[in-house]
Amino acid sequence: MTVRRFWARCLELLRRRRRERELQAELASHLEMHVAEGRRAGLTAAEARRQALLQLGGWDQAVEACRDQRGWPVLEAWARDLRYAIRRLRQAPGFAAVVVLTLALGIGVNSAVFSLLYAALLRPLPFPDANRLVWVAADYPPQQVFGIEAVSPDQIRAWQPQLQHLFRQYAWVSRGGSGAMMRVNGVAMEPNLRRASGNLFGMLGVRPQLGRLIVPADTVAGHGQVVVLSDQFWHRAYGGDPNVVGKPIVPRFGAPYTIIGVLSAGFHLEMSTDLWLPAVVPPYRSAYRQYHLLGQRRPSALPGCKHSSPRWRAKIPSRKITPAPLTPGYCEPCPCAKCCPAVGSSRCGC
Amino acid sequence: MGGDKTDIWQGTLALMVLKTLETMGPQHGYGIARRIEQISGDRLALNYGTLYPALIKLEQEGCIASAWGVSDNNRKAKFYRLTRAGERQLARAARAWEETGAILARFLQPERP
Repeated sequence: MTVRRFWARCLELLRRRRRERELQAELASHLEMHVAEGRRAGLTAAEARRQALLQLGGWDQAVEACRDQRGWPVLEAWARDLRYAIRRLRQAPGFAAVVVLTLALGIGVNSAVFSLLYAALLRPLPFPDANRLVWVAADYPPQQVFGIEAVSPDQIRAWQPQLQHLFRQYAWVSRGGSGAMMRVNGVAMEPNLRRASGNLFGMLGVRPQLGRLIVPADTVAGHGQVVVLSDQFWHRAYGGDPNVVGKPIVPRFGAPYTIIGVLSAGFHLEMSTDLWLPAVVPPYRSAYRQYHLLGQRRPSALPGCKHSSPRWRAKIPSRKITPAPLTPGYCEPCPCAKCCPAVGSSRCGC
Repeated sequence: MGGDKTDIWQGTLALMVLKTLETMGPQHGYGIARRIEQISGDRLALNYGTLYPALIKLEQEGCIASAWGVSDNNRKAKFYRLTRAGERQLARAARAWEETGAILARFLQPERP
């Protein structure tokens, strides 16, 4: 159908009565002429009319065929049905109310449950390759901290072979929630602190909106006196000052931190955090379970590594990978030698 | 309708209408119908009921325009005339049909030795 015809039909919707009148008049005039010619050929009035109607294919049929060309018969039929339905519902208001209420409740509950499920289970994390991102947790009697079991620097160091086998990269971030008294922009405050390994932001694909973020070089001991602000804290403490990079934040004890950047507004990891500090790299020995471990799975590592051992398993619904039970200083790697080439070597850390 | 008459092929009716209007100038529906029958030497079975939907479609496409007028024997009738777009459409369709006819003729002619 041409565009022109489409618009013509749409316009005709507005002039339905008139076109109907014209159609009737046109067909009547046609019939009249045909009958007159029949009379001239010597037929009786009745016979002439019969033949004329016959060749028209029937009056009603002709009218109907023309109506089908005009406007949008399907739409018009639909509108008629709708009007009929409304009329009937008006006649039974009680029934109508029950139906409307039932539908409203059904739709309401449905969308409420869906938005919950969507937020909790379906919505992808706002990070690149989010489907390969997992929290790594130890399988000891669970020490639940905000839903994620924390691990210690010793464990991270001890698991290195397995982590390197399973993940393209992995990063850790302190449990958070700790505050410390600091002088920020001349005011004493107690911001929430978290420490991030040097590759955390890179792995998550997070970008700064100002300055730069923490990089591996910052986590080398002695270079750690830098700090990244969250967007929220930047606005709260500095009023969104664009010249904030390079300013100091002075803790109550120790050397001042230098602000190196501001995180993008959308970044959020489990809980709100005001200041991000670099986490110094293990190995320093500490069995204190202060970190959450995040891994970016290799595309083929899980599930279904062909050497996979039952000790390595993924709990897909909770997006969690649970390594074998480990205690500091004792490594129980995947027993498959192909899987863990580091077994027995000095790299294994056993 | 006579069984030995040819039914109108789909799509050819519009072309016949356009050609009729080009030859005869503005004409009402009945006049177009009679003219088509005459030209075909009464070999075509034209159901007049199919003519009017075809006219509506052509008008919607802008190939023809209509206006109420008075016929030769003083009857009120709706007259159709060819538009510029209709003339172009007619030329296009006529060319296409000629080509189709030529191709079919080649198929049907016995091959020359």
